[in-house]
Amino acid sequence: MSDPILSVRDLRVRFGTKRGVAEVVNGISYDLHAGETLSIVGESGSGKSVSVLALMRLLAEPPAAIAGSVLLHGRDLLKASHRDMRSVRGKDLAMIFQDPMTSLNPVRTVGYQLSESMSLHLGLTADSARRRAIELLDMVGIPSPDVRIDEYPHQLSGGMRQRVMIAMGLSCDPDVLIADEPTTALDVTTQAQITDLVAELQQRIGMAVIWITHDLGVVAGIADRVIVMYGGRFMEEAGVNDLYAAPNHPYTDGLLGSLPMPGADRPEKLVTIPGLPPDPVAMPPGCPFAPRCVHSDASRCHIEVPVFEPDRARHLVACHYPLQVTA
Amino acid sequence: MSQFLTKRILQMLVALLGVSIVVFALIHLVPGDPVRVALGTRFDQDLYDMLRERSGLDRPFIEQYFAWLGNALTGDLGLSFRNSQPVTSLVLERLPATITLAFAALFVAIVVALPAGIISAVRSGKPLDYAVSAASQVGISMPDFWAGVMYILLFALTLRWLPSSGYVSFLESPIEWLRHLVLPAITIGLISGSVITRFVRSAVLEALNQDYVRTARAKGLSEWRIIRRHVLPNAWIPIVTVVGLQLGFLMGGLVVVEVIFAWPGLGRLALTAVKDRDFTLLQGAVLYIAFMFLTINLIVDLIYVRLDPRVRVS
Repeated sequence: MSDPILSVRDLRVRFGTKRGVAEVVNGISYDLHAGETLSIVGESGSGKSVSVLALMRLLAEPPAAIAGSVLLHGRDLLKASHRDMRSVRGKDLAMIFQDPMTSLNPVRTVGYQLSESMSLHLGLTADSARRRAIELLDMVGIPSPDVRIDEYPHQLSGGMRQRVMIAMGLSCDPDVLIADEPTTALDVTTQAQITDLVAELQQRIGMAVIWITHDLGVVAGIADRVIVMYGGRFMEEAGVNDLYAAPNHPYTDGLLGSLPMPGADRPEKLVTIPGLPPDPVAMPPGCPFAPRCVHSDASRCHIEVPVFEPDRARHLVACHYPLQVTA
Repeated sequence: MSQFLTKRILQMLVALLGVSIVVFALIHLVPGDPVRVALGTRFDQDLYDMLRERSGLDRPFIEQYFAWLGNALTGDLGLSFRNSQPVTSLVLERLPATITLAFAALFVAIVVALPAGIISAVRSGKPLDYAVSAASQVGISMPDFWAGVMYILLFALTLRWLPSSGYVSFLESPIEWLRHLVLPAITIGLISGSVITRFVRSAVLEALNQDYVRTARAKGLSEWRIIRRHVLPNAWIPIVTVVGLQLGFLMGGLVVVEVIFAWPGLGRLALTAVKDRDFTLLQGAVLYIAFMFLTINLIVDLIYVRLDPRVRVS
């Protein structure tokens, strides 16, 4: 395989809080290759959003403290100056956010917000930035883009606004597009449209995508590879089909069991995982999922943190007692 | 747009009508017969009756009000009860000094408040923020009569840089005009600026915490550009509101400061009118103050329309 575009190694994020140090991301590593879609799945508080905000260096430091390395084309972003980081953001790494209602500036036109990064990173004149902005709006499926460009965010629907956000993300041909739960705030039909749009644009443009979500149903349609995150650690990493067909981690299995699947040979009743995610200020010493896991045992799971076995390259699981030995 | 304007002007007229009724009623309810005050020790029953009849004070309250309102609509606010000069010209005479001081004070306030408030918000929780907050607390707490006297003691009497009081028309001598303006403008400007600083800080801080600022950062914009192009355009809306209110107060005349600096503004005119029970003059002055306040509010509303596209459509 070719060299990865993005290489994250042992990324850790802590926050100083009044109650103590919150360990939100606890040593995660992954590679992202050109054109690939990687989905990071986890419930609220698993650290998935924080982990991508950390690699964009969009967290205020302090209270956040970030350690590890984030290599973009071999260059460590965590060591880059603020100025260098600004030239990376929006150009090499673009990001779209969860709530398109609040992510756009209400007093600036769509065109203004779209053109901004193009004039900054590509040095386009106002005229050519505007022309390209209209092209981009057309590309993301906004009807009559030459009219919409002069409108304000409140004049657009939620789906339209997320399309504008995507157009903004793509405006400087980024190598990586980070989508942080971009469909969570949208209704279900719009969700599907946005997911399809990103998948289609990715095929055309060839960028890599990191898609953060809590919804395994969304992942199935878009991802090549899935990472399941819990308590700031990676639990399982596999190709999307492998993961759905044969979840190795009890947590992944629980998540899939909680997903309604019409026509599948699953029990009628949806499974829930009892208990709550761990408190980041008081992380359990062993496996973060151990307190909620039916398979955990006191001698190992509650003491020793399980890690990915390096030799099982295609399907990785961080569990002392994985559900299936072969994948 | 013109519909919006028509609606707002109609609202303003209704408000003015309300103010006129309240002012008229209040003055007539306050104890102290103006004729008696005017006559003082030379009281004479026949003279008293004649004066009351001539000024219409013997007629029923409602009748007096409508007579006054009818004249007011034609711009005639009657004659000063005290010195028989037209109230309109007495008020207009005081306007240049009042407007000059109001805008000079507002200028001082904005020059202080904008940078202080923005820096305070950007550095929130850091020493500079605490310094600004402490300074604005002092500014708000400082009574104008005390601050004014302190400035006179320091800059006029001790250092002898500036005159201690009085007003010189700009046309007469621009330099003297400015020299006389500095101390009263700073006295009020710093107080007003302290209030505005707090609003600027909270407006900027509020905008800084919005999601669109994170979007702007994710685009790679510099922090300063984000402040200028994304944060301030949103923060202007609450800032304009408080600046408008402050200007409204300033335009209404500033009794204490005008007295300290012997400034011939509306505040002192109104004060004199109260002391003399010069009810026609007081009515005229209050009506003018209300008019200014409402006009500034109308202007603020028009500025909103410029600043906020969401208001523009609805």
